[in-house]
Order: sequence, then structure tokens, then C-alpha cells
Amino acid sequence: MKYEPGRMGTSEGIGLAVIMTITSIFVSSPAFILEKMGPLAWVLPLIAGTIIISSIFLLAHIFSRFPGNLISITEQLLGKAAANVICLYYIFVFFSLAFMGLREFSENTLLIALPLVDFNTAILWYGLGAAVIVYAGIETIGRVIYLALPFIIGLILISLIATYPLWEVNYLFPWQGYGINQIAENSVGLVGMQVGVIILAIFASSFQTARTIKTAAIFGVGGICILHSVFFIVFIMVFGTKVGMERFLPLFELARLVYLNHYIQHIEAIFIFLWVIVGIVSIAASLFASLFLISRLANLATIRPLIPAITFIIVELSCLPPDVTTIIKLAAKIYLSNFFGAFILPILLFIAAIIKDRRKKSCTCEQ
Amino acid sequence: MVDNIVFKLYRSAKNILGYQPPSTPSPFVLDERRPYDSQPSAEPQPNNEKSLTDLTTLLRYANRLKDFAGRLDTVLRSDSWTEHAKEIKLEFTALDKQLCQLTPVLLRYDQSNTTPKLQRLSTSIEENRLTLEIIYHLPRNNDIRIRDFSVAGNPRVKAFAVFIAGMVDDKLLNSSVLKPLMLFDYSRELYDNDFTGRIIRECLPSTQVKRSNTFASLEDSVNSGATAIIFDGIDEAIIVGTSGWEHRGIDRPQIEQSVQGSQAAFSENFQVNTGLIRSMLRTSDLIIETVKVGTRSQINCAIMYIDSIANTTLVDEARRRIQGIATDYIGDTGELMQFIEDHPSIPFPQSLSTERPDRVAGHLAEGRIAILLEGNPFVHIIPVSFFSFFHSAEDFSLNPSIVNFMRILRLLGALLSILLPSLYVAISYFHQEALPTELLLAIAGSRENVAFPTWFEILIMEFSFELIREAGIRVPGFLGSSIGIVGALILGQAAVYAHIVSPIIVVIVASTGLASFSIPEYRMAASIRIIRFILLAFSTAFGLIGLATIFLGMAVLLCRIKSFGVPYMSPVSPKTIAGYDVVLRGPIFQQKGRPEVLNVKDQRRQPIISRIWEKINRRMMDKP
Repeated sequence: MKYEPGRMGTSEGIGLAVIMTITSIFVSSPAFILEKMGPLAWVLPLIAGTIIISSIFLLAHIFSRFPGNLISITEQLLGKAAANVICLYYIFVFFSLAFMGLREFSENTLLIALPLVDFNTAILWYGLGAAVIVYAGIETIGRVIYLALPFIIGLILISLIATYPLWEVNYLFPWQGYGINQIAENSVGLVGMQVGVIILAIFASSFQTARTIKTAAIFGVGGICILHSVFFIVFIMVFGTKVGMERFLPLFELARLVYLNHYIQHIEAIFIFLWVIVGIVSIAASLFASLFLISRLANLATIRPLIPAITFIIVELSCLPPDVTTIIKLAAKIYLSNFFGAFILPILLFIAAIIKDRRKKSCTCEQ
Repeated sequence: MVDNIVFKLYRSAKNILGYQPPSTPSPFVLDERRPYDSQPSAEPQPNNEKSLTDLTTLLRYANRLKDFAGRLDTVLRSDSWTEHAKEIKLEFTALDKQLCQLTPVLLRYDQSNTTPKLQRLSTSIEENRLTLEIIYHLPRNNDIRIRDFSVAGNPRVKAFAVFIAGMVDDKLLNSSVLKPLMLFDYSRELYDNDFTGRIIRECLPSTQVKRSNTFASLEDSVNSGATAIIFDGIDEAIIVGTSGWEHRGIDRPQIEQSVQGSQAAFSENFQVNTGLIRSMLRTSDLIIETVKVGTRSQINCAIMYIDSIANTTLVDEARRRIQGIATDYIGDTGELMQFIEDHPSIPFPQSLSTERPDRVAGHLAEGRIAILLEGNPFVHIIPVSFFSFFHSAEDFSLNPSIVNFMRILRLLGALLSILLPSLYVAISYFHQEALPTELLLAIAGSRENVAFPTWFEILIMEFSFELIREAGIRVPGFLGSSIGIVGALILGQAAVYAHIVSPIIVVIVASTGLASFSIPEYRMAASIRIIRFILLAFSTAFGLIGLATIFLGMAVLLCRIKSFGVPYMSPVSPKTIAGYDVVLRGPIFQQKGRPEVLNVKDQRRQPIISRIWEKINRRMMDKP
């Protein structure tokens, strides 16, 4: 198939893993997490990261025994009908990530940078940008993020460190947050936020080996989860739990608060630069995954003719919710449902792989 | 009838649905048909039927000759050959007569089937001369010289020499071709076995002599500056290397000047250029493959590589692409690269153009391929990465700390060159909060009397800067640099006084211009200049959002393109082992391997410990 991308290495894998996990720092989800977890919100990225890395490891283990990608191994293990259903499910997942991201990034662009620009122009801008990048292919998306990674991480860390005059360590207490039960319940529920990392499994056949996927998961997801956790610690230390819950764009607000001296202050301009790059590329990655799955499901030869149509549908979908609050509420529900795709399904596939492996071995022994 | 809304709507609908274009006269379009296309071709068309008859006649004669030769052999081996002598003589006479009759047929067949270039040389000197006159469009063509003479001998042999005036060394032609053939007295019979061989062995003291029996190879050699000598009664010509046209000697580099390292640059002479590289890379593994490019003007193109290092697939691909060019003329290496590079429509250069043989030698030693074109003083190196364009010639001659400082400076220069004007526009239009208050007030104060918007100020100044730069290149000699400096000073000062631009714009544009000169490769600097204007347009419209989007687009483009199959942003993205020479350069003795991305035959450049003397010193110190 022409849409099957070429061979991807660790750098592309890390790039994809990063772009699918780092987005949540830039949008309003930190405030939402803070509401659920209280002062212990910084633990969530670590728990969620551990769970999602475990899922990827389970899938990588399957790929080492059954070559292919997520859909093809589902077909091998559970049958064609199940593979189609799973394909449809992940189309929904990536579609939702794309359209929610598109709406949030466009809406917030009007808030932080271009208040006089028409909303439709902003959403078209992001949609068009993502579509153009999709034309370049998934390899390029991974490479671009890997190239930008030092700048993204470096500038986020600079923004965080630059707020040190405002840090109040006492805001991190009570350290138990809202209680262990609450934390456990929400952590598991919010794993769905990181469902995008499954993109590594969807393009598994394009990676050199299963080990490449594991490395990408460890360095990509692991690194970003630690960054996310550090971000939460700084965010809580600066704003506190109560005020933090009201902050709509936490990273932007942090960058805005920076005042080191007369010449180093208000560094949100840097943030805007990162915002656009991360926003457009994350939408493009989700869009590409959706297109790939649609082509796989419909057995199409190429994805390129679909790009304008699907982009248009995603732009239209993202215009449907009346405001960004609706999107945030919708996202919360979708994240919960994504737990199935992020964790349950990999476990199911792993069990099926073990059963099939055993059957194969017993057949060989009988012969 | 009243023209009410119903009728208006009806008419509008009718106009929309049944739209007829207004009957205006058709615009002038230059006629693309060419009158000479319909005319019959000037070249005679091959008459296949006639040729077939001629060929059959010639074949019959050949068969008869073969039979006769067989019979003669049998008779001569037998004891009674004297009995058959009369019979044999008769048949020989008949065959000789038939040959005389068939000579016109042979000539006709030869001439009707092939274009003059593809014909073989005839034994008739007149025929050969006529064919050459057709090939070289004589007497219209003025610089093609046909010099008649006779070769000293017994009897004297009629001959002529063909050469192109201006491409041959007259002294060489006189002393080593015409003088030995015409003046030395040879009182011997020349029409003997292997006439041309004897002439080559005994008369021509030149080092470059070869035989040719087709007009195609003869033409090829004459076009390259050789002299062809054609003799009467001989269907073979002698080609003598007499090329010696005027050309520039080895000079100092004009564009890639350096404070360290070699100070030699390529010239227009192909052999000199290949020789310069050979003199720097003294290995028998250095291969120089020559391929002719262009159908009408066939120019030599050399593919240079080190056989024991360069990737064979890469060499094959370069050769395949060069051989696969179908055009009539290529005059420059830049033109050639546009025919063979992966993405010719993208402004970023995909090959490294250099005029320095030391640089070519360095890249060849890394496993890359050099492409040279006859008559061109620039050599292109493939494949390259984005970061190669920020390396300069003397990078390896200097200490790593100095080089790294300069490389960072160049990259910062490139970044400033691409971003500074658009960043200023974006911040001053949309994100004023990013500027300290005093600076903001200073900018506002300086712009108080300026009539134009900021983007227009920048556009005027950028445009003026580009004009000065272009004028500086085009104006001859020392005037160029004077115009550059005087133009910039006067224009900037006058523009500020006239309140056309604010002083800060002059500072920004001047800094941008200076920064753009820090990029060592001209084509990379030019492509960055183009992108700067695109960024300016988008940052004017969308501020930092537009700037970031176009910047991202540029990053996507750079990550997507390949230079001869090698990712352009390698070894950074995708990550490969590069050997301490990408953005920064490590100590030269620690660069053990060649770039992994080139997938060369021999990955190791030097052993892990390349400073062996240091190891010996340590050993000696450790000894009690």
C-alpha cells in the first residue's frame, strides 16, 4: 500500500510519542487535572505515563512475535471483524483528538495572540497548516518534532525556572491531595489523555524493530511525563490549587508572570511560538493516524485524496460545539472512554497473543 | 410591461444558468505554430526498399567472394594448383570487375542508411571532405579549418587536417603534426601494410594519438580541440590531441576565501581541475568517470569518487541520473544539478558548490561524490546535509574552539537573517508586551514622524538593500564595493532624514543584511533571503502565529527533502552517527568514523587512538 510509511527509527518514534503527550501541557487540561487531584496532581503524569508505557511494552512484545501493526495483529489474533471494529474505534479516538485539539488551539489563539482575528480564520489556519503537514507524511512529522524537541523542552524549562521568585512550596501541601482512593481512581481514568501514544502501535510496521518502539516509549513518553510532573509542581507552587483551577491556559499564564528584571519579563511571546508548533503538529499527527486507519479500513491505495475532505470534516466538527467549555467537558468524557484504547485493548491483545502462542506451541509438540 | 422584481429575478437566473461570454474580439495570442514544422525535413529520408536491394546485391557479392576464397584455399593446398590457375585468374578478374561496378552501390547504401555523423570513413578523400563539410556546415562555419597538405613519401600522399580554430594550440599543431608530416623527407613507400599505424609510429611525436574510422568519433574529438588527419585512399583517420585553447590559470578563490589552507581555486580547464583534485588526493582509488552530457553540444562531465569508500549505489544513482539527462546543451554545473537533484523546485541547495579543490578532496575522503563539468570552475558535491552549508573551507585548519565559535556565529547569523525583520514586525504589531517599556517608547518616538506602516518601512529598506547588493555584484571592479558602502550609507541616512523610515528599521535591516553574509554558501543565503520575505508577509498578517507557522512549514520542508537519497536534516533528524562534525566540530583526531548516513564501504577514518605518539610517550613514561 502506498500509504504505508517508510522505515522509522528511534528519533521519529520519540518525536511521535512526544507530540502525542506534550499537547496536554499547552491546553487547559492541567486546570482540569488540578481540580480532580488537588496538590498531588503532579503524581498523575507519572502514574499515567507508567501505565501507558506498560501498554506500549505489551504491544511491542506482541509485535516481536507477530509482525505487523496494531490492526493487522488484531486481525491475526481476534479476526477480521474485530480488527475492523478496533480500527473504527481508533478512528474515533484520533478524530476526537484532532477536532478537540483544533478547536482548543484555535480558540485559545484568539485569547493569547490574535484577539481581533475571526474565529473561522484561526480554525482554518490551523486546519490548513495540519493538512499541509499531513502531505509531508508521518516520518516528517516525527522528524520535525525531534528537531524541535530541544527547543520545546528547553523553552518550557526556562519558562518554569524563570518563575522561581513566585514559588511557594507550602502550596504543595497537604501532600496527600484529596486522598489515595481519589488519586487512584482519577489516575486510571485520566490515562485516556495519553491515548495518542498508541500511534506508535498503529505505525508499528514502519518502525525498524519492536525495540525501537520500546525505546521511543521510554524516552518520549517517560521524558514528557517527568516534564509534565515538574510543570505541575511549579504550577502548584506558583498559583496554588484553588487559583490554579481557574487558570485556563496554565503554561501561558506562567510565562506571563515571569519577571526576572526589567529586560526579562513577560516571555509569553516565546510560548506563542511553541504553542503554534506543538498545536499544528499534534493536530497533523492525529489527522494522519485517522487517515491511515480510514484507508486501512476501506482498503484504499493512498491517503492523499482523502486529506482535504477529512480535514474539512474535522474543521466542521470542531466548529460544532458552541464554546470551548463544551469542548473541555466533552474531552473529559472522551478521556475516560479512551482508557479502553490506552490500556484495556493492549491487555486483551496481549492475552490473545499468549493464548495463540501456546496453541501454536502445543500444535508443534503434537506433531 | 413593468420591470418588476419577478422579471429581474428571472433575468438574473437566466444569466447565471445560461451564461454567454460577451462577444469581445479575441485577444492577441502569439502563434505557436512554426512554419518550418510542416516543411519536409532537409535531410534525405532513407529509402528502405532501395537500400534492401543494394544490401541484397552486396550480400550476394560477399557470398561469392567467400566461396571464391574457400575454393582458392582448397586449390592452393592441393598439389595440382597449377591446373586451376587459369580458372582462378578468370574468376578473380570477374570479381574485381564486379567490385568496380558495386563501388557506387556500396557508397549509396552507406550514405542512404545513415546520417553523415554515423557513416564510416571512405577511402576517397573527396568523399570524406564532403561528409565533413555537411557535418560542420561548411563554408558557413567560419572557425572550422580544413588544411590540405601532402605527406612526404614515395609517392606523396594527399591528406587534410580538420580542426577548430581557437581550440587548438597552433604551435603544437605546426610542430608535432604538420611539420613532421610535410617537411621530413621520407623516401619510402607509405602505401604499405598498416598505413596509419606507420604514420603514428614513425611520424607523429605527439603523446595523444589515436585512430578513428567513424565520423562520429572524429567529430567528437575535433569538437574537443583535437586535430583529425584524413589521407587519400585510407578509410581511417588519425586523431592527434592538439587542444590548447586560452583559459584562466589557477587563481585564488574569489568566493570562498579563507585565511588558512590551500589558496588554489578551480579554473575553466577540465583537465586542470581533475588534476588539482588528484594532486590533493594521491590514491589510485580515486575514480574519475567521464560521461557526455547534452545531445547537441556534448560536454564532458566527470563523476569523481574514491572507489574503496563511496557507496556503490550512490555512485550508480549519480551516474544513472547524469546519463538520463535528455537535453541539447548544459553549460554550467548549476544547470546540471537542476537536472539531477531530487527536488529542483525547492530553493534550498541540495548539493554543495565549491571552487576549492581542498574542499572537494575533503568531501571525497568522507565518501561523497564530486561532479565536474567541462568549462566550469565550480564543482558540486553530493549528497549533503543542511548543516554542510554552514561549514567553511578553513574549518579543519583551525582549532575546534575557534571553529565552533565561528559556526555558532554563522548559525546565529542565519537565524537573525531569517527572523529579525519579521520578529520586529510581529512584536511591534501584535505583542508589544514582549518589549521593555523604555524600548517600546523609544521605538514609538522614533516612528512618530514616519508616514508609513512598519511593514512597508521594512519592505522599502529590504528592497533597497537587495538593490545595493545586486548593484555591487553587477557594477564592474572596485566601483562595486564603493557603490555598496556609499549607497547603504547615503540611502539609509537620507531615508531617515526624509522620515520615510525610522532609525530602528535601518538598524534592523542593516543587521539582517550583515547576518545574511555570514552564511558561507551563496545559494543557501539566497534561499534564506526569499524565505525572509515570506515570513515578513505572514508576520505582518498574523504576528507570531504566522511567523511560527511558516517557520514550522520550513522545518517540515527541510525534514522532508533529500539530497540524493540522504535526508537533508541528517544527522540530527533522523539521528545518525555523524562523527563530531555537524553543528559543532570536535578535535580532528577524535573523528574516527565517516558520516553513518552515507553508508560508505569503509566506515572507519582513523583508529581509535590516532595520536599514536602520545600512546608511545605514555608507555615510555610508565616504564620504570
